[in-house]
Amino acid sequence: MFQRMHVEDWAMSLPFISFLIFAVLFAIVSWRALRLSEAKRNHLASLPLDPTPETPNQP
Amino acid sequence: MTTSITYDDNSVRRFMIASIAWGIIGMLVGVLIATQLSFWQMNGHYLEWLTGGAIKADGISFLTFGRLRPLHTNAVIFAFVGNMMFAGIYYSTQRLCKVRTASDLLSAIHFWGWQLIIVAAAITLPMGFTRGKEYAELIWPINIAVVVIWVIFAINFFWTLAKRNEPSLYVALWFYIATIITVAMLYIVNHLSIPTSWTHSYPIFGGVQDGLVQWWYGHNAVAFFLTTPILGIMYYYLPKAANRPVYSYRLSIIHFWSLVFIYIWAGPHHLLNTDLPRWLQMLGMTFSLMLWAPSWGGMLNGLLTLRGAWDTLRTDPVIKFFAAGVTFYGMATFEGPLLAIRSVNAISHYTDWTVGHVHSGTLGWNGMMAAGMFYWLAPRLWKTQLWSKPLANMHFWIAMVGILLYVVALWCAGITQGLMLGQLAEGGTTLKYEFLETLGDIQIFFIARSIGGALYLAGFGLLAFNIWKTARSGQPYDETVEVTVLERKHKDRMPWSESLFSDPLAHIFLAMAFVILWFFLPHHADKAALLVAVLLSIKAYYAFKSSADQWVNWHERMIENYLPFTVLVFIAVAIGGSVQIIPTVLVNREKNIEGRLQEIYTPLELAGRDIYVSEGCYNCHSQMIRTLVPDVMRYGRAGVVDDYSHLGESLFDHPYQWGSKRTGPDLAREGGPIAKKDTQGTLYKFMRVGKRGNDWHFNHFLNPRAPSPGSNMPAFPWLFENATDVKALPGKIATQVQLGVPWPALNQHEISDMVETQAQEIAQSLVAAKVYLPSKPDLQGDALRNHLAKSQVVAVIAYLQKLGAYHEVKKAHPGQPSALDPDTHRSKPAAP
Repeated sequence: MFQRMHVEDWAMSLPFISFLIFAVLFAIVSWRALRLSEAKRNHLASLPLDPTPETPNQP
Repeated sequence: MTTSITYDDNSVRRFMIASIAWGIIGMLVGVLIATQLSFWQMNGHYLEWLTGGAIKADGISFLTFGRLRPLHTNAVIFAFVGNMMFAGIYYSTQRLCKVRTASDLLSAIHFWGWQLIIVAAAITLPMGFTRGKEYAELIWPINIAVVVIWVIFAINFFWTLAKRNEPSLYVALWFYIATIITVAMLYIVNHLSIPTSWTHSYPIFGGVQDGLVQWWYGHNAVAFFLTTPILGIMYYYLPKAANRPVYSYRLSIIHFWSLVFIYIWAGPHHLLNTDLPRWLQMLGMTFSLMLWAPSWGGMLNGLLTLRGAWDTLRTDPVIKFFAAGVTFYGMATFEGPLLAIRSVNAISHYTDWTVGHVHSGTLGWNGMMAAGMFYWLAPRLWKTQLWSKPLANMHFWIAMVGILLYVVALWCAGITQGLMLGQLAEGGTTLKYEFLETLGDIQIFFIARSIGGALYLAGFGLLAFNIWKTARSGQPYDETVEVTVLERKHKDRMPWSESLFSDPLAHIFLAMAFVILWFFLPHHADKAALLVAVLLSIKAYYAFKSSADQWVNWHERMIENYLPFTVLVFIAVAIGGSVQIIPTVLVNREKNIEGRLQEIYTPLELAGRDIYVSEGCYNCHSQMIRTLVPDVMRYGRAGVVDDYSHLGESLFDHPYQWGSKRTGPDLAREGGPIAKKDTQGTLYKFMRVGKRGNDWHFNHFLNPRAPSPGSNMPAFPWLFENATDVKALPGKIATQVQLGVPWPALNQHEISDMVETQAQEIAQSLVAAKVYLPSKPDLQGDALRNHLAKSQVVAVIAYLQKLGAYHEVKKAHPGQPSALDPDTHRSKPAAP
């Protein structure tokens, strides 16, 4: 390792930033996932199983 | 309006057949190299027995472990899993989008291009053409071909999404999108090189920087090539096979986003206890531990999808393979974070424990999921029944026994060797075991591992036979369905501006930007930035209160709009990579080094290094003495303080050669100072002598077991016959200068003279030590010296005797913080 690293402290802050970014974005998508409507969830979950034509052209 | 669509299942069949064929070849090479660790004769000497003596060699260059191991890893990753992934993606994407793949031509180019790449790899790797970086060995022309074919695949995939007749994007498609975007980014960055010839290049990164980029890529090759696409396949095929929807769609969303946000950060856990800056090691370890949660969430989501269908586990081989595959996913992703804990890693790293862990993932997760998918697909692709369920069941049990034997054997081998290497003798001042003693003690586990691998391969042979008989019993069949055509105005309706600059995103990113500024700005300005971040958060709250619908719609429309979704995934993974890589790009420079700084190689040493890389020595030997007492005691020099590998000692190494596995000992301190005088009292100009003499290395390359009884290293007889490529050196040195390696100005004549002088010095020392060349018994004296001076073995010896050479750099005045240094306001005034 370096005996002295001039920017070591600067770099030390990066894990904190990374935590922050992760925590904020993950909290948002998790919250949105949990709030997904049941109808939407069921529709999405059944996509692999549903071979019949749907009625997708709704506004 | 409805329309009739015929899916392109021909591409699926082709990729599936290719996957099975390459899988068998890749696994066969794997079994061969596993036996090489127990029986050195498997490095080519066995051909002497097979041909009744027609071929005579202690080793054959293109059959050694160092050259075949990259072939094995590339074959199983890119050929076996790659083709399996493409088969799974092409089949499921068409069904989930209710549309035929956008372009048959692009599908065909993708298929044949990928197979050509694999063939090129299978030819070049055994020839020793390599970049010397694990899973990134392929030479630069093949790298370009990989990028072109990957882009063609991406165009075809996204074009298909654009033409889809289903507005929503199922979660499997999210995983495919993340795979395509992230693999492209990882592959391009880690393969940035400057060519020196059609078959050779130097990576633009060096030393710790190269190590970091390599494992950012290497780890995420596992994450985004071996995991996310297979998770997409799990989310599509498991519900299909069980005939019920995924257990929790909400959990699948959280699974996806948490993997995208976390996985990309975890690469540094491959460099724990090395001279990688500590904050990066902690970053890698912490994010690895965080992976436990989403991985197990995903595993449970997969297994619970089988709720109410567990009875089919007894009768349906597809469900059996999927359930085992998902379980192995859980086991491997439990073990991974465990191994990323620094104290555990101190034992496991560089041992077979890691190899066992990787194979529980590849054989258990990838292999079992591939088998389940193939057994499910084959009857549908040939419109028939699976030829034999009992045979598939037999495959399952043979594979299961094989995996367990393999993984448990390597757990035992790795933990045993890791503990033995650190064990102290009575008195506590010396190590108890020589390296070769530890290798001897784990041989029984190596043999068990070879048997386990052979069983797994046998099982896969049964699959190939079963699929072949299934195909023969039916006819190639392309499914045709009626679908409702989705009008253009009902899909991908989110404009770019809204997707990237909508209120929610704008608030989130602005607030984050000010929090980052809080870290970086000088005194008082940082508090202002924090205040702005808080105000933005408050504004975001009120914006949400006043227009909750807009926020909700934004998110839900986002998952129905593939381009904005793709951009957001790219931003997430790009941030993860940038935060790790950019700071080390800035600090990993000569001007920052204080303490040990690597000595520049001589031209002959550079030639020797290229041969070392070409032979794949890094597959078995590390060049990294970790900051651990047993490492320093074993590989450091007596009486030298802090004799672990310092960061500056490999600063100019393109590529870095820290390695990831020690089948042989570490070589970081193998070299030594320039030798004093020869027998005539002449001072040596270049020749160095390290831990061992030149004649020891000579005899070791000729027959490793002569100086090291019990060694499993292959013999390298061709190094004594092949000449060093001196003509290429001026171009290579010029390229290194471009990369920032501070070579002195040398013309080609000076380079040739330096090579000749150093080679003659080493060759003379070998002749003086009365070495014997079995292939040329008549050569003696000057004739032998001149022959050896031109040979590759002398170049490699020159390189090995240079390893660990450095000089001390002392700085009278430490560098001042730069303008962007966030610590400016904390620094004390420099002493006058």
